[in-house]
Amino acid sequence: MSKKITIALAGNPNVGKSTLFTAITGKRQHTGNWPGVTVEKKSGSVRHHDTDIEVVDLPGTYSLTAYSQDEVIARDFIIDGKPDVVVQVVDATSLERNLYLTTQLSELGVPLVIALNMADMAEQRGDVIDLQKMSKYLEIPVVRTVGSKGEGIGGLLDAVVRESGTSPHHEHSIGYGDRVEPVIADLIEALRQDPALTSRYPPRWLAVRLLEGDEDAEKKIKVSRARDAIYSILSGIDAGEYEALMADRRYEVIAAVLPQVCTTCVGEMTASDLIDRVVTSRYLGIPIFLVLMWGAFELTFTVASPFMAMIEAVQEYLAGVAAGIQPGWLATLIGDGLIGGVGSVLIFLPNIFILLFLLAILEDSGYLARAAFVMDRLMYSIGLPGRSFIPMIVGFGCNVPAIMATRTIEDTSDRLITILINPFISCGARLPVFVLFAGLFFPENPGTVIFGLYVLGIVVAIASAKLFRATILPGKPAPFLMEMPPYRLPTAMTSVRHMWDRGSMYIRKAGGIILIGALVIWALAASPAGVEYGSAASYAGMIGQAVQPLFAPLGFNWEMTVSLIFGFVAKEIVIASLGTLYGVGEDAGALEGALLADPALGSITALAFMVFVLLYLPCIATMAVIRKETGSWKWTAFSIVFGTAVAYLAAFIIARGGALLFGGVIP
Amino acid sequence: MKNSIKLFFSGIMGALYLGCGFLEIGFWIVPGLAAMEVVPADILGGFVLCVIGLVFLAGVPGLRSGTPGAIAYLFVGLLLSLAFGLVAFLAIGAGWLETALFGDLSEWSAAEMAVPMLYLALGSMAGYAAWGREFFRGVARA
Repeated sequence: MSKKITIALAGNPNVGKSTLFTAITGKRQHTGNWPGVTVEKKSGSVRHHDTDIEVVDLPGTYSLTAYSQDEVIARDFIIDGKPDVVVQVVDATSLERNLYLTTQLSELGVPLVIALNMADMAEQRGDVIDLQKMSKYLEIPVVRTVGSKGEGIGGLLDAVVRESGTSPHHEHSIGYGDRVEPVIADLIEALRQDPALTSRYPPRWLAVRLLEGDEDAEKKIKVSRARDAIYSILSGIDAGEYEALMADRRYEVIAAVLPQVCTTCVGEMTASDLIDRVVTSRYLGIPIFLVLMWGAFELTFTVASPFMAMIEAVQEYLAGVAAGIQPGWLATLIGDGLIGGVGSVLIFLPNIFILLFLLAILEDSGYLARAAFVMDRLMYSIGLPGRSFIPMIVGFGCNVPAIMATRTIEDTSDRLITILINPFISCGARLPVFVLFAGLFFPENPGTVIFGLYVLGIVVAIASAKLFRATILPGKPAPFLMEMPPYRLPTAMTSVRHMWDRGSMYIRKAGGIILIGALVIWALAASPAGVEYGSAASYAGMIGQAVQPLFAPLGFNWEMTVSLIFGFVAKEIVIASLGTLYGVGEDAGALEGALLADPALGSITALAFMVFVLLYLPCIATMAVIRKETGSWKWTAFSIVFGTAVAYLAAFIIARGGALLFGGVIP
Repeated sequence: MKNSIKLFFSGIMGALYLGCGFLEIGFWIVPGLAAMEVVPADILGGFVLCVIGLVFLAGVPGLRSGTPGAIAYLFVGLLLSLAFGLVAFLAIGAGWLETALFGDLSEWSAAEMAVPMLYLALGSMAGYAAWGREFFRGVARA
């Protein structure tokens, strides 16, 4: 008579689980969804000797702590689905990371078999893994497999069938040390007050989950008769601290087992490991990240300078040619509208491309992944996962792809917070405003001022995240586990391609939306007929004067006010507007002179203006993507209102604080 | 023997970077202090020098006791030193180019190159020539 069993394939992402699943089941697969969610469920079947085996492919997870939907699905299936055997697919080339999940599966006490997958790749690089010893130390059957070649499938199924026939299975518990174990013992004692609960879940496993602050485990306790006793134990516990202690202990156990089972897996550290030791260190990691970012901004300003001067010279030549065109209105359209508007944006392309090139080098070298890791501690302390830092870095280029990059964040409130704070991260479109004003009003340290503005954007983003977490979006961020790519020496071609992919849109924008914006502003500045171009009597002047009282406390004149209004379309238009409104099209370098000569503008007002541009409402494209990604007009409107309010407050503090410090006037 | 040279090199470079960093910050904070010709008043530049100095110095105890992996601090210190030497060189070079194209080159002086970020990197070039290439080839292979 044939036997029927169910097995679950568990494992970290990217360990060849799906390949192994296909190698086991062949074409006998079907797909559906896990109950209540849209995560795809794959299952299949195979007959091995006289056993019919149903195989369920679980979502890839790094741990069984319920931080993400995938982890909850995998864990619930193992506990509630009661598979006869769990097969953990382990990447043989990355044993240390993979065995972390093994320690958690072992604690569940489920029948477990390890498929040591990608064993051929580990052997190719010289690793020698002793399967027998590994099986002995872990007390789990270990089978060598190469899913892509179908190797070891028969042996794996033999082990699965064997393991399904053995009973009972005991929990392989890790000793968590003198500080943690007594608390676990107390929790187990308390849990035994609820036999219904302990018959369903191993008490020690549940105690460990509670001690780690697992929200799913806490939900189970809320309806338990042991609730009060457990709450009284947990009330004096810092879950974050205990979670770290237990994770350290698991890695200690893995570190002790690995040298026994693999002769080369824990050999000499690679150059990448050595560099990581320094750049991700607790004390030096963040300072190193900060100085590298400062270096990038310093180069962005200084190296671009001669190239900006070259573009400026070309513009001046073209403006001279345009001045001779007849009729006169066409000359002002080309001179003031096109050259003054679009040209004043094009001049900053060297800055944008140099910054993007340097960010591409940092990314291609593998450093940005380390930066996210380094910032994880800080991010976690403000209530966000380290994963949120990656969209923040992408935001230095453009907020639109950055907000789309938040799709990798599984937790809804983590993702929403990351989306809402992203517009505070200064994109390339704001750089021209900073370069112009910092160069004019802070000529001694323009690079430092720009660096400071970028840091301010990050600080405001972090403070906002903390505020959201404490008020409208409470919760706890998921821990951040990421794979570090090895360091690479970036090639010039790859970095240039990345720079071009991200930077070419600014050229397209200059020929598209900025051109249209500049022409609209030119038309408003030249109308009604007969009015002096760009004067207070023009339509642009009327709009500016109508709104300007709102900005008067910040020290902004009506030209600046109009530029901010049009900057809502695209931030580059702020500069294009100023170029048009100051009527400097016939002399591209004259915008600088006009701004310096404007009595309304001093260094404090310039700083307040830069800070306002940094923080105020996102551009149209960013707003559209916020609407799309949040699926909510409410959050989109919140982003606009909150950003503008923060910008106004920050600029007000700078303007008024400066006025107080410098004797009652805004210098 | 070889390790003692690395130890000595890390200590000296760390002290030089940290010393120059403190001077740059000090000159910036207290304007009354006369900045030396070869050390400008620059708070963020000074911070960069201090961080590089601390990276070099962080490896010194480990190099003294022979701790495996302590060498990493020396190599990362070299890497940062060379990277910021390049930043300073490019910044000065860009200034020279702009002056050459649009200004009067006679106003430009080679003394502008006398910034710690640049001349201290020359010391790191020697360290790189001695030990760095082998290490960084490992990075490319990794």
